[in-house]
Amino acid sequence: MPEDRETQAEPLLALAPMARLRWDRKDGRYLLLSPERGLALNDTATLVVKLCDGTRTTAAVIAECIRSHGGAPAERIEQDVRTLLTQLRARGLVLGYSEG
Amino acid sequence: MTPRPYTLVAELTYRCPLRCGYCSNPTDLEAHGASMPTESWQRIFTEAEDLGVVALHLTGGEPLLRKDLEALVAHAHGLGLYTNLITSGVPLTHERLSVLAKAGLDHVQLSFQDATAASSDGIAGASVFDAKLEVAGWVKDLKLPLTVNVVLHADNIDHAEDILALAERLGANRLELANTQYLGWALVNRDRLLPTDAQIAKLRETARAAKERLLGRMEIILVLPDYVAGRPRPCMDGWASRFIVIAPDGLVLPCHSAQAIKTLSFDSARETPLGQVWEESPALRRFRGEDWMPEPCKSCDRRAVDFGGCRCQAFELTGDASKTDPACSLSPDHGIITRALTRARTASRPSLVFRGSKLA
Repeated sequence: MPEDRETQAEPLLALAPMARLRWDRKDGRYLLLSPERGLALNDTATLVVKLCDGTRTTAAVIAECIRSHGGAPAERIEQDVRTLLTQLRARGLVLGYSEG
Repeated sequence: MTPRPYTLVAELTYRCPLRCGYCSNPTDLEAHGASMPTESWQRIFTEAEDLGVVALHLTGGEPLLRKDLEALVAHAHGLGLYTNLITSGVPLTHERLSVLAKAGLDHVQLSFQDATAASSDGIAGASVFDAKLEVAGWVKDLKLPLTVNVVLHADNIDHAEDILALAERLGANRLELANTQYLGWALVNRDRLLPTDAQIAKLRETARAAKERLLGRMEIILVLPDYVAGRPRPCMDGWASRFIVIAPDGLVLPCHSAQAIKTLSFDSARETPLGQVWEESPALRRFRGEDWMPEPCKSCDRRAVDFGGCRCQAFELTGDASKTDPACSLSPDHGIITRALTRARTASRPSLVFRGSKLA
């Protein structure tokens, strides 16, 4: 008997409701805003945050980042993305991420 | 070069239904001018965004006492500012909160004074705990992110576990356990409010365990009192650096408490563009950067970490705002702190002086 699809499904990554992405015209980069905190994002982090839109699993976000980073080694990109997601999760800014 | 501010703290009014004995508002409340009208605040928000500000804290006093709060939130939202309502939760209705949410409010920070009605209301000097519980429910109902904020001191610090349970029950996204900063009304009540080292140690352990247990569900922010840390706190990330605080009457301040420094005179943005005040105000320039620093700050390798600590505390405790913060164990005035701790822990505890009481 197949398992319930709900319990089988990989969780989807999404920005927490308290997090908001804002283009910072002063410094030409994105800021991830939340109560009492603003994180300045580099290009990779911006891509990751934009991909956390409630439609992708962790694996899909990582795959998309690898695809858009032509030359760089896949393992290093995965490591960078996971490090970032761990930090964002610890601050309650990303939902649906679990390590491993 | 004038630093870029990121956060505007708008103290919309000093009026408040609560009377907490650690309020950061001035102790001479009646001596301050009238609150600015809607258009002045909106103009200041626009000018602040132009300076680089990305986040707005709407606070007071109690910001809900302003009838134009909806218009202020809408204006801030139009500027793309991350808009945070810092409130006691009273007076409020579900309907009004719903209007504020629709106007673009991003986040609500709701204060509690303790985990139970009797103690919380006793500290607030007002019967408001049950109303706060209801407001927390509305915040969640409207899907607004919620931070529960509790200022900690000797009267509630031992209830940290119960406060955690309350915040969890309310579905808070964040819990701020912020020890009292001993300025303003809290300095008046210092002998009453200072916790013991054992209480602080227990709180640290409680918070550490909770952070681990609630990781990814509820963020715990613990702020320890600088009196026991031996190091000053990096007050406002430096004087007039990343934060602009606007008093109800339009004075441009580096922090909530700075009007206590009677040797400085702050300038108003009510009639003058905010950018001009931010750049030129002599009071804001006075302690910007490191040039003002005395020893031991000037040659200290932590001067870029804590910026010499809190200027208000230096003034309140030594009478000279340009001295090293006495909270620093390297300060020649650190004895003021250790003597205050000894006194608070050995003398019998005085009763609480509520905000708004006449002071001798």
